[in-house]
Amino acid sequence: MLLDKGPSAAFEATEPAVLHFNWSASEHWIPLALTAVAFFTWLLATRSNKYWAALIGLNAATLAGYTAWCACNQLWLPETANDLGAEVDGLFNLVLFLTSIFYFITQAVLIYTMVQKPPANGRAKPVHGNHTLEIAWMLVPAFFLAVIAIAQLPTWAKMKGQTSDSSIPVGYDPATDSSDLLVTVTGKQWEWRMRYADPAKAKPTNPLLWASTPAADDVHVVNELHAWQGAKVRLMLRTTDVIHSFFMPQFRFKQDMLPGKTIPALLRTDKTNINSDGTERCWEIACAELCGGNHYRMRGKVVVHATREDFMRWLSETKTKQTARKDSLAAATKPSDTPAGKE
Amino acid sequence: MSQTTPLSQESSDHAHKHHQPGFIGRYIFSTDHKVIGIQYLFSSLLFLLVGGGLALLVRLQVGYPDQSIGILTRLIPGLASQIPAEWGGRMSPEFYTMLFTMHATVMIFLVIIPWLTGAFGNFLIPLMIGARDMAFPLLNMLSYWFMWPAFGLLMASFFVDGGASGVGWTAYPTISSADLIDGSYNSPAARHAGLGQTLWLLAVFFSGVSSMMGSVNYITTVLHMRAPGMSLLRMPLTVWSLFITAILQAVALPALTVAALMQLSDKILGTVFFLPPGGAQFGAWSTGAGGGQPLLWQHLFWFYSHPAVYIMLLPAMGMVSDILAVFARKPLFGYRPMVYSMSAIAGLGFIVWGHHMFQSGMDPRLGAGFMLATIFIALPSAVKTFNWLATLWAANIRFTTAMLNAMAFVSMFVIGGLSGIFMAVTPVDVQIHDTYFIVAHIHYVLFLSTLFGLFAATQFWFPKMFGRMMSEPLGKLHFALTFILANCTFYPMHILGIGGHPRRYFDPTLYEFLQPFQSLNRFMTISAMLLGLAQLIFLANFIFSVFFGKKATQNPWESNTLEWQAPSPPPHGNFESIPVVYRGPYEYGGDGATDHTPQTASA
Amino acid sequence: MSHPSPPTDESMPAPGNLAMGQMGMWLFLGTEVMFFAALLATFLILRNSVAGADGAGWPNAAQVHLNPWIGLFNTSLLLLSSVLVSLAVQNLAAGNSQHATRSLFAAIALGVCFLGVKGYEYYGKFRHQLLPGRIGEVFAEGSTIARRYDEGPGLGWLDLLKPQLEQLAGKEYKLLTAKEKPATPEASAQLLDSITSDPGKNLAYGIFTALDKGTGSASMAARMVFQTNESIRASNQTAKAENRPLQAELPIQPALPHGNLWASCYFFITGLHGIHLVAGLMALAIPAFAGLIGRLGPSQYGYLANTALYWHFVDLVWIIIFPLLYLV
Repeated sequence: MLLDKGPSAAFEATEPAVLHFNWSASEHWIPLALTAVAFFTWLLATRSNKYWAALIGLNAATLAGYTAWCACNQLWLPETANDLGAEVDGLFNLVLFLTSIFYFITQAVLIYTMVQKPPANGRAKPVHGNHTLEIAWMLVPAFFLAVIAIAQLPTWAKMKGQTSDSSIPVGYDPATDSSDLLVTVTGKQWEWRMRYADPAKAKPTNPLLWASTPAADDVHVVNELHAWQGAKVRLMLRTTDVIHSFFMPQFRFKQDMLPGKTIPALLRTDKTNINSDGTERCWEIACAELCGGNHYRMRGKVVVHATREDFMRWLSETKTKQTARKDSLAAATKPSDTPAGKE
Repeated sequence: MSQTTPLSQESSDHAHKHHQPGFIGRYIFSTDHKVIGIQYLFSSLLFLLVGGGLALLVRLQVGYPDQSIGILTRLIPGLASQIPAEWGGRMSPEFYTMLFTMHATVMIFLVIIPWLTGAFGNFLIPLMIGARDMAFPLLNMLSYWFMWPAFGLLMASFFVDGGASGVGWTAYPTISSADLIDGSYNSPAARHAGLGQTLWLLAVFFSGVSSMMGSVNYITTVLHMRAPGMSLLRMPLTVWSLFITAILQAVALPALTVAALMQLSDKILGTVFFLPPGGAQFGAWSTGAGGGQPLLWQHLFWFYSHPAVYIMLLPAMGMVSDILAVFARKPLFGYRPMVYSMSAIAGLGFIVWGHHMFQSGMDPRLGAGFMLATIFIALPSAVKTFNWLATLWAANIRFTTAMLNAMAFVSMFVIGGLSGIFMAVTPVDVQIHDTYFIVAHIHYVLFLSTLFGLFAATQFWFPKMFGRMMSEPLGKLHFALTFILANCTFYPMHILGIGGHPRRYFDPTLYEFLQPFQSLNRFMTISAMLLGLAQLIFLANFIFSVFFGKKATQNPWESNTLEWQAPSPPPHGNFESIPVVYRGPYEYGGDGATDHTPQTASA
Repeated sequence: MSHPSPPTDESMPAPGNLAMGQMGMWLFLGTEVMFFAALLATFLILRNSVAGADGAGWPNAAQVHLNPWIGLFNTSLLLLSSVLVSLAVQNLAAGNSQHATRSLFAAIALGVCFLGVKGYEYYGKFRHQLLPGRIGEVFAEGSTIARRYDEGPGLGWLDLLKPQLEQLAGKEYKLLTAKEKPATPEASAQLLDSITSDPGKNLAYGIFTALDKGTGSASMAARMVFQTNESIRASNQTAKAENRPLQAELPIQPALPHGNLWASCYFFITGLHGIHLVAGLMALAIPAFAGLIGRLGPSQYGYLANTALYWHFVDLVWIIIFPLLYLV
């Protein structure tokens, strides 16, 4: 349904839609209604300043309520595709919980001060500060911040660690590479070029070198990342022109591609997005670093096949098509012009 | 301090019988800090309109990706190439990138920083420390006029070959820095990092020089020109915040200047600082061989631009502190902790720049260090929040427009601060980095905090600037509408970001996982349009009050600080005679004859 | 705490006050220190990322035709001018504005000399085409990056190189092409001999033959140019020791590992320093010419002292730049 606007399609010169607001749509009338609310609060506040407290207080409460509503209505973190992603979500929830406490306390105190009884004879007690209080409200947040800092360390270590098994290894060592599938992802304006090493064959001795020197039987695909459930996929992230950022929301994975560098990433596919009835849940790839006007068009998709066999079937089908295309092209032009010949 | 030197004798004569300059000398090329401050104020209001207009176009595109804005080419024919007729008057994706790039650039370099440090820094520092003018009045004037080339270059860049810079205000190489083909400003490398980007870099350079001159001036003024008795720890927090900001600017800006010059030289001289050894390949065209590192730019850029976020926040914090104390009729709670926490923010601000680059491929051990510093920079902000709340506790609050805006600042700063913690948690940052969550965060800090602080400060010091009061009812109406609509505009961005909506997308409807969020996008667009309209109330109030506002008394808010001891508006030279300071700035409440004791009141 | 004195204007320092002027200058220099710190840190990061532990990956002074003695001479010019500016300040303080004027003019002359020497050095770089973007990059044979270089960046460089090679090859190259091949094998061998004995002709012949065969590439040409130049430099080294005449380097586009990065850094750093120097010269020229028309007096002392401070700073920056660029 969306693929007609596919990433490599040219911008179609169609007639633009006439600006037509559907005022019955909630997103159109709610801002107007809220403007009216603000306006009436202003009118009422000429009588009593308590209405200002109501304005700020209701705003704070609405924001909190709205956030909760979104969390319950799937306007939230996308589905998680692997265990690491679930861990990240756990951290997110921890931070959300702790920050909410501070949010409610501070907003409540602020609202309270707005409705509090003014001091007798209109003179506040000239309190300049309180040493104990200062210490206390420095130590309490410091404690919570320390909790947050420590809680994230294990996950961070899994994401960027010394071993080749972390998401973005620091010290990548081809010898300890235990991945099941090698894919080179090359970002260029404005598409992702994926190159698969056939997992049925022996793994290249140095995947880093392989990332920049294609083998003859590699499978080339544009904008589609395929793997199977339970695989460890080694992604070699590169770019030929500008900085792109390879973003897969479901995997909680995002990594910039830097010109002149090959970044070895490891992706674990703990879940499949092929439903039991054979339909596919759409998992997408997006670019998260501005890379030019068509930045938004770097749309790709991820398919995690249920089994390795399904994946291999897809791979061999793709390979057959590729060979056929190569042959037909070879008949017309020089072989080096085929997409497979170019890197 | 009372020692008389011939030099200062000369100046005191000058202060009393200064010559009357002509119109141009008095209002255009004036060296009077108050006039320069007001010039800054008017120009940043003008730029606010420009920057706001750009933002609305951005929102229009995101909310309604298929809409025609062909009418714009009728108003500004020069934009015809950006809004091609063959696309039925829809903007081109490249034009969209220019819009948000220029929105950020104008708002940061020409609105927020000049409004805070230019307008209020200039106007308030000498008045609040009891000086007759800045330490270097001529430099002060120069610093204002150095801002105009920046503005001219930025606006002109929309109409040059290839259009304005479209690579984001962060201008990451290699998209921004790829050099240009000889004799042409339109490199296929990046159609929108051509001449427009060159002009952008020059503009950043000019605005940097302007800020640098200002900061040298502010530091010297604060250290040398305080009135007798005005010890450092008797300075109002406004002055403290501007002082710390000036130091931040002086230390951090040179890094940006170097980076901008390097990128400029990469573009026009063919140097290779940000080009990787193998060059970069754009379709059939390729750059020359490189040898440098694209990542280097990010380090240099964020070394400035992260402190710049605090440059854009600290003065608002200082001014809000003063306004809260005045209208709470109660001393500011914890003056010293406030000063220390501002200094801590400034200090830590220098070692957190790397958190912008967690996803950029830097060493994770370095990343862990940045993460710790980033998490703990929340601490001084928390201390400040608690002190503000304690100031309001058991206070005798006067609900003026300025006070309402200041209280909204506290409420909104909490959100902006807390959302920052999500980003400091690096694994979570992986998900929300470069999504709308970041956009939400920065707007909660810069719009809903700093801009509310600025609205408060403008309303509060307006009587001193123009000798007239701004309308309170209109001000409150503007506050109510802005408060609600700004939350409508920016809060849902958090939700979008959590859902993974990337920033800077021309047409998010392309993605299936973003479909559920498109109605939110429309909601935000409508809110943003209304928010833009609401700002016209502020402008109308401002302009109307300059001419027809109620005449202001010398001290309409019954404030303690020195500027209110001068007439409204203060004459050239500010004070009849230099005031002597006997006490701190926040002596409100208590059981004395009045509920406030000015700093000049002797024991 | 109460203050003893009544409110007076006299306790306020006035705008233009000497102490404030100096403070302003120090603060300005503080920003300049940050400026050059960022610049030189950038340089060191870039250099160390390619130089390797022994610094071998970074072009050495001989490869880029930098003469440390010229640099040292320039350093001494600036040091001397700094001394002279100090003298001018002292003389002015002592009320001797004529002496001050004279030392100022001498200092300015030295500064101009510095720029002249720098200009000569720049001229050498232009003559050798040691300019950013015009230097061939030398990569290991068969490496990915060499392949990428051949597909894109190297092509432009090869275009620059080819006409120069043709110039070098002279008529012999034409003679060897199919059309005008020498009639006899002896003549052919003789011709080949005359080519191999001349490094320039040898190089041109080698590159053209490979390109014609389709086995040549930009990265190969760059490697050959680099090796030829290296061997010329090496033979010059021994020639110098044995007092033989030196051989000139080939008048073609140079090729150097990381040469473009080196040229970028060299021109950027020395250029920015030069701009600062010109600004300093202009600032010094004002009191100097004021002295010439007899207008230099004690009221200019503050200005001169501040300018001197700036001049010392520019000098100091050069003292840091000099070893970084010429010696390390």
